[in-house]
Order: sequence, then C-alpha cells, then structure tokens
Amino acid sequence: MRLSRFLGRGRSARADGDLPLIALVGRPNVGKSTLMGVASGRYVESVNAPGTTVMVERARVRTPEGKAWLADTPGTLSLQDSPAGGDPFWKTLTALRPDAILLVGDAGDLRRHLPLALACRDLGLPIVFAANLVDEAAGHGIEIDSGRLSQLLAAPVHLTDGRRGSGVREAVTDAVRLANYRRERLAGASPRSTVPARIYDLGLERHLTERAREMQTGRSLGAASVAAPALRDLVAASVVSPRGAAALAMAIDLEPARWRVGGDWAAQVERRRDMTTSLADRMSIWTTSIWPGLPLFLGATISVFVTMLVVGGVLSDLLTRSWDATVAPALTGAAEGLAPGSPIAAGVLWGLNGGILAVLAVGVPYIFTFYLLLAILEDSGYLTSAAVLTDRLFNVLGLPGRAAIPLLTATGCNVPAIYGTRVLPRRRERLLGAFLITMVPCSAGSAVVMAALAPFAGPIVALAAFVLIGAITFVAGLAANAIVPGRQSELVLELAPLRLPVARQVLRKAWFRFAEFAHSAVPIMLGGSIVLGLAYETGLIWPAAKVLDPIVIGWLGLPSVAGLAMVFGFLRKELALQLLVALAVVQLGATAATLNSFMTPGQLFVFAIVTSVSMPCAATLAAMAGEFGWRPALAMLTTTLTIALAAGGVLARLLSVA
Amino acid sequence: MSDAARATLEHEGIVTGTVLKLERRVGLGGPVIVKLGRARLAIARAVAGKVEVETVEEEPG
Repeated sequence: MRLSRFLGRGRSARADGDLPLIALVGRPNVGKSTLMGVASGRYVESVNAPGTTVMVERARVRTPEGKAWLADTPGTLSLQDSPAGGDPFWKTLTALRPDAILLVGDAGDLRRHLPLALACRDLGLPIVFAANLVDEAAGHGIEIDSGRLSQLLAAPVHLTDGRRGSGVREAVTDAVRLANYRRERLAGASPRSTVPARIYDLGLERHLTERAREMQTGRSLGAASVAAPALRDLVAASVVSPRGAAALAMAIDLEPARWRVGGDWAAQVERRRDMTTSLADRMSIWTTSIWPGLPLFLGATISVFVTMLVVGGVLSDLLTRSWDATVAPALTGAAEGLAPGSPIAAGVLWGLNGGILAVLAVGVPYIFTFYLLLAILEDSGYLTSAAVLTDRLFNVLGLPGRAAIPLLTATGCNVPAIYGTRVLPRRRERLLGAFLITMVPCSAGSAVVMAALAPFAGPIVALAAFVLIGAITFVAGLAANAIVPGRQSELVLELAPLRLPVARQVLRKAWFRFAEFAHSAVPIMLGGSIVLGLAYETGLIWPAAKVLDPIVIGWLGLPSVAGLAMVFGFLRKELALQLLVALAVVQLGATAATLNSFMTPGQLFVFAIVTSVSMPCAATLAAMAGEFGWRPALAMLTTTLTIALAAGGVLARLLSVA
Repeated sequence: MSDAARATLEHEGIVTGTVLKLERRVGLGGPVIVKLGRARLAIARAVAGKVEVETVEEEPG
C-alpha cells in the first residue's frame, strides 16, 4: 500500500532530523497539491478535477520556524469520507501522526469548506486555515474578513493564491510554528491537551465532554462505540485529544451541526458584491448542456485525436528517420566490429535497435503529445463537464462519463490512456476502463487493420473490421461489467470551475508524467525487444512457430508465420505486419513478398481482427502492471487474448478459411 | 439511493435545511445540476429523485 510506503519513508525521515509533520487537508480540487508544490518547490501532481491525489505525497519544506515535512493527503469531503476507496480519511490522517494540520479551503465557498475545518479543529490538533483561490473569489465579488474568521476558528487564517504563491509561505510557517509548539508541549512534564472553545449547542457539547472523559479513562463506551479501542489508542499515543477521539466517535451527530456552524460563520466573514456572470461561468453552463455541449465535446475529443495523429505522426517520422540515418548504422557497425557473424550480437543489436526505435517512434511523439493535451484538458476543468455529458452512455458499461477521455485517447496510444484512467474514482471503474482500452485499436493497431485490408480486400472491408472490433469491445465491456464484482458509483460530482491553463504547469505536468512512463515502460520494451531479437537471430523462433501451429493453422486457419508475426506484435503492433511479410519471405521464398500472395482476403480479415483485439503491446502491459499490479494486468492480457482467439476462430469458420 | 451516494450528498453539504438552486436537467436522461453556494453539483437523476425538496422563494437581491 502506498501509505505504508510513505510511512516507511516518513519514519526514516523523522529519524534523520526528527522533523515535525504538517498534514495538508482539504476538500477535492481546492488546490492542495498546487499549494504544496509552491511551498516545497517540487512537482506534485495536480488537476483541476476532483480526486487527483489518491495517495499521500510528502515533501520537505524550510521555513523561518525550521524545517518540516509537508504531507499532501487525498481531497476529502469529511473525516468519514473514503477518498481513495479504502479506509475512512481520519484513519489515513491519524496514521500520519501529524503535529499540525494546514487546512486548505476555497475562499469563495467557505460555507462548504468550513465543516471540514471544524472537524479537524475538533481533533485537538493545531490547525492553520488557508483560504485559497482568493483570486477567483475576488472575481466573483467575494472578500473574506480573515481576522474575524481567525477569531471564530481560534486559529491562524491566511488568504492564499496557490497558483501564484501568495500567502503560501506565511501559512506554512505558521503551521510549522504551531507544530513545534505542540511537540515541545508534549515533550514537557505535564502536557495539556488543547480544548477548543465550545461551538456546538449545549446538548452536543455536554455529550462530547462525557465521551471525551470516557476516552481518557478507558471506561466501557457501550455497544455503539465499535471503534472505541482504536480511538482510545490514538488518545494514549497523543495523536488526537480525548475530545478529538470523542468527536470521531460522534461524527454522525456532529456533521449536521458543523454544516450549521460553517454556514453561520461564512455569513459572518464573507463580503459579497454583485457581479455580472463571468465568461467562465457561462462556458461552464454551455459545456454541460446537450447543446452546444455535445458538439463541443465531440469537437474536443476529435481535436485531441487528430492532434495526436498529426503531431505524433510528424514527430515519429522525424525521430525515426534521424535514428535510422545516424545511430542505427553506428550501432550496426559497432556490433559487426565487436563480434562479426555472431547471432547473439545480432540479436542484441536487433533488440536494442528495435526497442529504442519503439520508444522514439511511439513514446516521445505520441505519449508526450498526449500528456500535453491531457494536461490542458485537466487544468481547464473541462473533464468534469465531459463526465456529465457522457455519463448515461458509459453507465451501460459500468463506467462513469469521465471514462470517455481515456477511452477516446486510447485510439491514439493505449499507454497514456491507461494512466488516464486515474480520472476514474473507483478501482473497479479503472479496471473496467483499462480492460476496454486494451481492446481499442491504437494508432499502430489501426495501421495494421488498414494496411492489411484496405489494399487487398477494399476500404469497405477495412471499415467493417473497425465496426466489428467496436462491437466486440462493447460486448466484452458489458460482460466485464456483469462479471467484475462491485457496483458502479452513482454520479454526485462537483463541477470544476473552468480556468485558463497555465503553460508552465501544463509543461511540468506533461514532462513528469512522461518521465514516469519512461521509468516503467522503457526497460520492458527494451528487454522484450532483445529477447525477441535473440530468438529470431538464433533460430529458436521457428520451433516456437510449431508450438503455435495448432491454434494458428488449426483454429484460425492462418499460415504458420502469422502466429509468429502476432507474437512479435506484442512488441509493437505495426511490427506484426512488417514481420508477417519478412518471415513469409524467409519461410516461403521471394514469391511471398506481398500479403495477398500467401493469404486470402478472409485470412487477412481474421489476422487483422485477432491482432487488433488480442494482447496489448509490451508498453501497455507494463503500464497496466504499474497502475494495477501484475495479476490484474496478466488477467486482462489473458482475457483479451481469449476473446480475440474465440472471435478469430468463429470468423475463420464463417469466412470458410478454417 | 446507496449509502455511499447518501453519504456523498451529506458530505457535499446537502443536509436537511440546505437551500439549493436547480440550475437545469441535462438532456437525454443525464444528471441534474444544482447550485449550492458557489459550487455546482451534478447529481444522477436516480439519486436526485430521492432527495425531498421544498420550493422556497428566492430572496430579492
């Protein structure tokens, strides 16, 4: 689990300097990650859409009050909410054992952000409140009386603009000061727990006091206090105050009261001026209406697809030509010079050349371009509008509407689309989305379908292949939705405000995501490429062809070399077609130089469908393993392969090729 | 309505006594969009249909 990994690092970090820890807490999409990035000077993933941070991130900060760890927690609606789909947030928070909490709230919507601040205040930990997004609040005619809010909260309040950095250092410095103070107090001979001023009605306060006493004395708390032992442990370890533990136990009673108090306080500290509706507000309404929202959505997705194809294609061509003209000849010369005639050297060379070329031809041009486009969409806040528009359509497949973004971009490249499933709120939905993505033909898969069918069977047949692949994917999605346990989340989604993306943030985000992709996928692409190269050069691949013959010849009705080509397609989809011809020439002679010289149109149709639907490429598998673990990744690989073979076998019989 | 949806509504601030404004229903059976303070929430119709509401007059100004 990511949290335990974090805690492991956190413990060693604490041993190295014993720094206080400040937890950044706030509702989703309020700018915590941006604020942390500003405070620490390092990149932290942030998106203008709820639920970006799904794990705890930490960074060291230096302030006039000393150094400290800053921990960015997942955006949460309350302490009882489960933002990462597992434990309630209060468990995540208390596991960090924070010395202070830096609450981040929306200055323009305090009514909805103060209840969480009150819940954290009740824990008995020092809090600092950062009223963030003051620029947007001002744009809506809202000003905050921070002094009055500070009085009410009994805590420092800072007006911050995370995107520009104003007020952030001061807020963090205050949090470190309070954290140091708490640690000194706890280290003293007679630590006193913090008792916040009474804010709830008399009955609730009396109940809280009684429960706090029970938490402290350890007396029986009755049948209703299921979590009481764990809460008492937190008190004993001074993680929360007795009143804090009592407040956690009484969350159901306290939550409505917090909303009442939050509403009252917001009314006291907000100054509102009448403003005309901004362009961003009007666009928010347009983008979530069927008209003109649906045409805008289609335009946006087509633009992403076309931009990826055009920019990615140009870059891919440029990089491939440069590689072939400069590095590839040098590599070949070096290999021949070092070990002339050695099949192992030739295999390693083939693998290195093919692997690096795959990175240059797919990774840099398509994936980096996609990350740039995705970052623009994310930071603009458009993803939530798209989610609303497509919700009903994707509900049929057990997915929320926001699945449209990764699924459509999978038509360019599956790898970034797998990472793009992070926009889905639940693991089940991410798995279902990733499963469908592996079956969507990427640009390389589409190239195989087009190149195999259009010249030899006609464009109509090629189009029919795409329709058939779409139908297979849809039916598989329906089946997966029925089989995978769990329920689909019902849409209750806060719409992100539309904002103009900041170029620097977009570039940083795209670059860091690309680096993450390179770190996880490139070694596998290179390793797989070298293994296949060695198998080809040493001749071991031909016995492998014999092993595949019962399926390839017997079930699919294809020539033996087609099986090998499909295996090579695991490295790169478009390689499948090139290798099919190359291997056919080696095995069948020069007369097999074109596809239709050794395969009928029916066989080509079967080959195109099986290659496109079957296994994802090595880079996609690596991305899936990185995101979900090897077991789900291999399960999806096996499933898509089974579906492809089943569909191929049925097609072979319908088309009388087997 | 599932417990998760009910809890999410409460966490979003839709509790008894909350005043919200129905902005519109998204066509083709899509969710309803409500304004709650400065925030806009999209709520699936199946969920929204189970929230009891009472019409109140909008305050002038």
